[in-house]
Amino acid sequence: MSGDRRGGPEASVLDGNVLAGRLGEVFGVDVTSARVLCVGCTREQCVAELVLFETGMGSTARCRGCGAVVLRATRIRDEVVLDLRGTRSLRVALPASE
Amino acid sequence: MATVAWQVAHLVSRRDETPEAVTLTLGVPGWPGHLPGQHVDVRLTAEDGYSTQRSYSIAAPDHGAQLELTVQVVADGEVSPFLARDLAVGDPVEVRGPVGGWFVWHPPPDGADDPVLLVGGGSGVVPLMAMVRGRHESGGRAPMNLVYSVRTPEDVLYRDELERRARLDDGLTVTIAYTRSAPESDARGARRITAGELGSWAPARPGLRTYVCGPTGFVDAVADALVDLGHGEHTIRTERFGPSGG
Amino acid sequence: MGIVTPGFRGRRHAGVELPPGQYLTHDFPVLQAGPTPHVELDDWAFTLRTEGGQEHAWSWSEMLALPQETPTVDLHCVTKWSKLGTSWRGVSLDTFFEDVDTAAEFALVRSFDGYTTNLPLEDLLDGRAWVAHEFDGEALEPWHGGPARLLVPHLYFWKSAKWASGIDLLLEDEPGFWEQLGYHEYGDPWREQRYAGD
Repeated sequence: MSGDRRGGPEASVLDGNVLAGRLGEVFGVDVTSARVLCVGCTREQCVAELVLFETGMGSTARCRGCGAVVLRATRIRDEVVLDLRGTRSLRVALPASE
Repeated sequence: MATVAWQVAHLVSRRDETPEAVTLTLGVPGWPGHLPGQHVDVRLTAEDGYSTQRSYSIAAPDHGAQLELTVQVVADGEVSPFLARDLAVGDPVEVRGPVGGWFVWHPPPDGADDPVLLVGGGSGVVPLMAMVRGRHESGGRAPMNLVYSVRTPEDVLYRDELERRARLDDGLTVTIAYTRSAPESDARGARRITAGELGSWAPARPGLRTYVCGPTGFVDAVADALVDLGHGEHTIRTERFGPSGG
Repeated sequence: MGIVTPGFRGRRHAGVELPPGQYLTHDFPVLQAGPTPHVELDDWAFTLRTEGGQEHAWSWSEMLALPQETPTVDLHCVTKWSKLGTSWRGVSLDTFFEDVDTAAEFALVRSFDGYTTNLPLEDLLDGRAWVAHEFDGEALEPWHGGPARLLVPHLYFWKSAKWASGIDLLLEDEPGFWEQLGYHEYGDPWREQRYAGD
């Protein structure tokens, strides 16, 4: 990452890697390698590979194949709010037990 | 990966990389360690409670409680000029991390020799540099090939170190491609990387794993070109930054 | 509150009276939740749909033939930037609603990219809202919501839907894109109604 984003609309288009901190705080495991299944086109991809639109109001992560919204996340006061309606499932690998 | 929460870090030292980029070394007492490729979120709070945060890739492998970040100054930026120029040694910031489990390089087990390709645009080279340094520190021998697209010679991050590593680190190759102005000695001249060049610098190979990092447009173009050259999509990992450099 | 980093001020202002928590900007930040839709003027229509299913629609040229106004308004975004004295050209919602028969109290505004936002119908009337197609004397750029966007400046700017395609009139309130995630159903910047429950 390299900090500030300026410029035109393309400046706010990143990928799901950006969600690592916010979602990592919620889930306690890395979510960027979690796999999602787009309800629009059933394409499977990692959260890291989603097309990420940041507006300051929240993160909108879209399918890299068809552009449908796969997941949304925002911080409201002391909560992280997630909308996962755009994915059929979220598969997260658990850390290997010692 | 342990639950990530904010913790306080203090600036230990700063080092100019270019006129527009600075490497900050932060002391983070509770740092759990990290892998090359991971990043941190940095949060700044003003006296009246206003706060904002940005993400920065970690530039060096795990060195215990010290963390290196390379900050590229964005003109009119709210945070990067402050971090690069105003944050004083000893001052605190908050960091959250390490985060990112996908765009990550693991030192290969002994004897493993799967090749790695790194393609960086502008400040996208920062997490890739952590991988180059990580390979050196772990005594790696598996081929690692860095292709670094950058605007002008003045913008090259880690120039001297990359030159030294390319000479001394076994199996490491470094190609710097200038896009706006090149040194006179550079036969290639200054222009954007073409698919043909990528094909000759970075042919598809069995077992090759690729990391591409930089501005969104650069990453999308490179990833598409690599796939067209026969690289498997699943062998390419990407990380997109905001517009800067490259 | 986080640890204070000495000397950090961020971007701020002094002097002008703004709604609580806002800071003054002279830029016009571009923030969107998806790729910029490109709408051809030939395909453009603005459609009001009543609770009974009746539709009133205007093409681009029909819209331009309606009485135009040139409001100058202040914009307040929930992400804390405010931009004062912005000038626009467009059609008042009062004009669109002149011949519309409705008992609905609520409106769901729709955009060409699927975005939605909700507000009480009365907040669109009495000179408080426009379908705006010019900003600062020029045709509204796509990344600012062109060819035409809704402009409802007395509420937080997320209610001023970009690429507006029409309004559904509803008997019951229905939350839009951001409201579903927890943003305020009304959104008065002067009462700092950013999130549901504020």
